[in-house]
Amino acid sequence: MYRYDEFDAAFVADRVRQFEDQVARRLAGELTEDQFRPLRLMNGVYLQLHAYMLRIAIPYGTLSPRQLRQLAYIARRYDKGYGHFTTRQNLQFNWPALADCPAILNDLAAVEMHAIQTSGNCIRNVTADHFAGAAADELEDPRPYAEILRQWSSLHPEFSYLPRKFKIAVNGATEDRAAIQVHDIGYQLVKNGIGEIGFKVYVGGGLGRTPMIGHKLRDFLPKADLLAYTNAILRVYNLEGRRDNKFKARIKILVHEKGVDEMRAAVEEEFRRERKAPLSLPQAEIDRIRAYFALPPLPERPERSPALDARAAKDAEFARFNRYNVTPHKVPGYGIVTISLKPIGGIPGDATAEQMEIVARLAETYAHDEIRVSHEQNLILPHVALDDVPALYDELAAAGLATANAKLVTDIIACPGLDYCALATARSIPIAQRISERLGSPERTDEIGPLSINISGCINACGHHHVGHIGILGLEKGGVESYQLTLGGSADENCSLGQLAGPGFTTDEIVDSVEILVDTYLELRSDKAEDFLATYRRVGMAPFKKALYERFQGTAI
Amino acid sequence: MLRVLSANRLRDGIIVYLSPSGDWRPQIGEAALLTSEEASEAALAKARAAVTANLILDPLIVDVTESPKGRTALSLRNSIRALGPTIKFKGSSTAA
Repeated sequence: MYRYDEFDAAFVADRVRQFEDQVARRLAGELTEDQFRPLRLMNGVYLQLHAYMLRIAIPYGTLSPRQLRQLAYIARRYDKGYGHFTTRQNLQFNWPALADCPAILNDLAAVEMHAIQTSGNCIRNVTADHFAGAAADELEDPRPYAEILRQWSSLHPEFSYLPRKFKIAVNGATEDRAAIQVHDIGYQLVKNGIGEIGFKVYVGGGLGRTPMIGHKLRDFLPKADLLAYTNAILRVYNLEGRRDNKFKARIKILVHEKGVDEMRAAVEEEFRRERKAPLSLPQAEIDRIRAYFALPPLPERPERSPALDARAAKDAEFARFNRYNVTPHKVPGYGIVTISLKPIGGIPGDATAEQMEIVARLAETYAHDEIRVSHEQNLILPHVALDDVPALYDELAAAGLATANAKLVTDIIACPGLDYCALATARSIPIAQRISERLGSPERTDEIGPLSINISGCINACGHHHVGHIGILGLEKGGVESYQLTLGGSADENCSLGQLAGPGFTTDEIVDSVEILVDTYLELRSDKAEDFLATYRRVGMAPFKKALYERFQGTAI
Repeated sequence: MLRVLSANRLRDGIIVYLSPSGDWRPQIGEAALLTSEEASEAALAKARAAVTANLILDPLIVDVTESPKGRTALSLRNSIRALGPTIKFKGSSTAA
């Protein structure tokens, strides 16, 4: 993985010292809150319902065991002993004291981490496929390009006061696991007609109160032009993006109002003007960064593992884990192991300090010192020998980390919601817990098959509800929580936004409502191979809506 | 309408309430009850002074009700502010 050089280390250390001084001045009363708020936000410090919250970037979701152990240490030393992995490959601590934040940032800097640009109207943490570098369906590892974008965008003076926040995602595989079409910029690595690898470019996607799927600006962008083209997009947005209305300030609104053809023309014009500038990426620099992300030495192994097969044949629980949580690796004899942070009835994305330390140790023992964090709020060991999966599973199971539910109905994405968040209008986590308990038996989840449920506690959509096969949006109506359902969303390469089913449901009704949708799917599917999304796309909203509102006619609010 | 005055404490962000003695206490039950508009205005004036003195942030009036079981905030948001998350998060046994 990428290691800080002297410049990076000095850059982050300077920033910690600067924030230390700012916090001291705030606590001494030399800065007012109005003066201090933008400074703390630039360092990832929010004020939430119960306390401050510190959001830490995990660039493109890649972590070392040393870093994860340090996060565990911080959780214990300064917080309540746990952390929350978010829907954008960040980690949030929910209870830090402001006075401790400089010390936390100092501890993070010691392991080459920081919280810079995890908030504010700037280019946020650049995200990528969590299976990057390991996936069997990958054209090229997207992380070197995410790292190049990260370095270029960190404290970029021209792009530190954008009209609104700006999110970039990079994907290198056939399957889009980085949700690139719902980002401000999405880069997809592709091969052109003459065998060169570059990027397909999407602009203007996003969720929030005005969800939009990104528009394709380019079918092919040479790698050398990655920064120059990103610069051109940001320049057009910075100049023309709306600053008069916060709710219309994202680039998706600019693209929508300007039209994609005009947006493309403006970007291309700016790109032509600037492409000869020093933003052109030399191949040597690309190669230098790529070297940090080289596949670890993986000794040759047979494609199948007799040890794994034998265990799966006699242990049904292990067989389920292997079926759902182990994904094919690009190297025969290896697998990518998803460690679910969605135990049945648990809090999506939460991990205790002890669990973090266990995962760090397991990564060292079984996975060549690499850990990934997914925007689906799970952890991943990307390089595990299939022969080692049984032993790894046993250790995970002992730690309560072997829930076999990746991509299943209980692998629920949920924002912190009203239990923590100052912006939320309704709770998310308790709804996720109740749905998980209702549908979480192994027999039932196996029967239902792949199904994503995404829950947001407000219209800002941090729980990505628009792109859940079933999306749940928590609102407040007349002083009580109300939950709207959307159906048919998807964040993958066949991206679609969920459609609203109808009026919302009460807290008491929402779990039954989800169960009705699931049962309706089971009745409607053509066969077991047709998953929920495929069935919805075939039959449409009508039968689901009919089933929902027959049951709740007159009670839905 | 019964009310109390709440805020976040600057140093650590935790929820506090203006007590009858004028200091800031973490329990809603320790808050001074505000039973008139005048009392609410006076409490807000104290809060503004506390903001200026860099003790608290974001003061707000919270509607409450009293019952034999104790004092509770009327809205869900303020109830969660008073009682903490409604979920049982798992922390480390050795957390600070």
